[in-house]
Amino acid sequence: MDKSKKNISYYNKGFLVIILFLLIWECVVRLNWINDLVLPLPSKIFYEGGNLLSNSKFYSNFFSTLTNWSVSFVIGMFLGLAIGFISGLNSKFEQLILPITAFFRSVPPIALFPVFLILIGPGKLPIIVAGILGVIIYVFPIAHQSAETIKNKYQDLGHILKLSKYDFIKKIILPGTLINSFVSSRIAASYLFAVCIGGEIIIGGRKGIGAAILEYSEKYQLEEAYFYILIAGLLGLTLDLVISKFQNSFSLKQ
Amino acid sequence: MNDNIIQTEKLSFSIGSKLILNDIDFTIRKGSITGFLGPNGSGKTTLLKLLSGIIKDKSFSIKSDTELKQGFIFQMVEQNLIPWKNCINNILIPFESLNRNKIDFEDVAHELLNELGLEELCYRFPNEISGGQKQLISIIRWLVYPTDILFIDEGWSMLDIVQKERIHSLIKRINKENKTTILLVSHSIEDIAMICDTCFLLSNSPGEIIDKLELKDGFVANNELIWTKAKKIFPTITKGS
Repeated sequence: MDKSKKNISYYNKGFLVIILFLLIWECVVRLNWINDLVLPLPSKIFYEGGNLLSNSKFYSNFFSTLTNWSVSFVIGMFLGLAIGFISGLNSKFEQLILPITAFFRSVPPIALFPVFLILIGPGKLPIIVAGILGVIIYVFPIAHQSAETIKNKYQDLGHILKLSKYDFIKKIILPGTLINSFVSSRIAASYLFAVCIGGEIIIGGRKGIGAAILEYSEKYQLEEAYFYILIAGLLGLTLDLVISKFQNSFSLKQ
Repeated sequence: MNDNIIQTEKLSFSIGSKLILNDIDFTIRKGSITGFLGPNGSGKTTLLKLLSGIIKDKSFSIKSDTELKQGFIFQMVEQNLIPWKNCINNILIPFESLNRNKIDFEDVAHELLNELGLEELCYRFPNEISGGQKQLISIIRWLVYPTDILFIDEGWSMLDIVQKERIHSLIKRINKENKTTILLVSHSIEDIAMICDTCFLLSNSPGEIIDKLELKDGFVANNELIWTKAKKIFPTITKGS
């Protein structure tokens, strides 16, 4: 079976579990086993969610998070690939860059939010910067190792094909590194999504799904807060599906 | 160079303090199929890499035509094929790397794959085909792209007898149709007896040439001759082992 179809069918089965979970949740609250002041009814969450969907503010929050994610992902992928690629080919650059990346790998970007907040100020920018850092941390070692492995594996073939150094990099090392890195980008994408939502909550921006969760929680409008949490999960799931489809189309070429 | 394509004089090679090859002298005739038979660790792969210039060392002399078009079939099948190119594009890599129009040769590659019953592999990626098929694709490459000399570092010891026969006939065909000189290293007596017309026996580490055998009398006689002489390099073997 096609891998992407397999993934979707796996998700289909998973959706049944989610529906079952929501049904149990509805029953537990309706039977007053848990107070609805603590855990609102799913039916009420969806009702309030319907109201939110008719408000333009919802879309502004939704697209704000999506924009933060997209910008961080594109820039982070580009930088992670570039730094990893160069360090995989150049041992002097590798010596310079490895300790710094090892240092940042040990510090989660969320822990750097307060620093970015002081350095950059509130708004989208500290979230995007932390997101970029998060993506680089994941993509850099993959790109680094891919470039190094491909260089070593195919340098004899490059010699036989009489490829110049430039052509060897352009025709062999670069495409191989890109494919390997894209295939491995799924974890970076999921992690980045968590960083974006977390950033919007911690930094307390005005827009974004995280900011909305914080805002409605502070107002004790739990139905709306829970609805935004569901939307965050659905958006994360959709992005994961899109990337897994993209990933599968490349995995054969790995 | 006259009829010779490669000539070595006192070829010795060390890695660190370990001597890998010692005083190797031989001449390879143009258009011949020459085999180097030796046990593991006798420096066979190193010898091919030195002769092809993959390993560069100026401490000895290798006389060869300067602009030889070379092909190489590596022992590790994964090294021969680029994973993100499908089989047809892998076959056509030499044209691409030389910035030559590969479209003219694409038909040749298709015809050849068709003839060998491998047409269905055309648009598959290396990841989707077996080790033997990978080996066949990497050999077909050098049939489509004619070379003056083709270095073969065994690599089909794990294949079944049908695949081996196909590979043997393809190599003979490259030699005959393209007038390609073939240098094959192997530790398989049958492979050498089947396709080579000259065989050098290499001793165990450090590799030294201990015998040169002319193989002209067909597989059975060649096989018998090599088995007799191979006792010098594989003292414990018995035929059929």
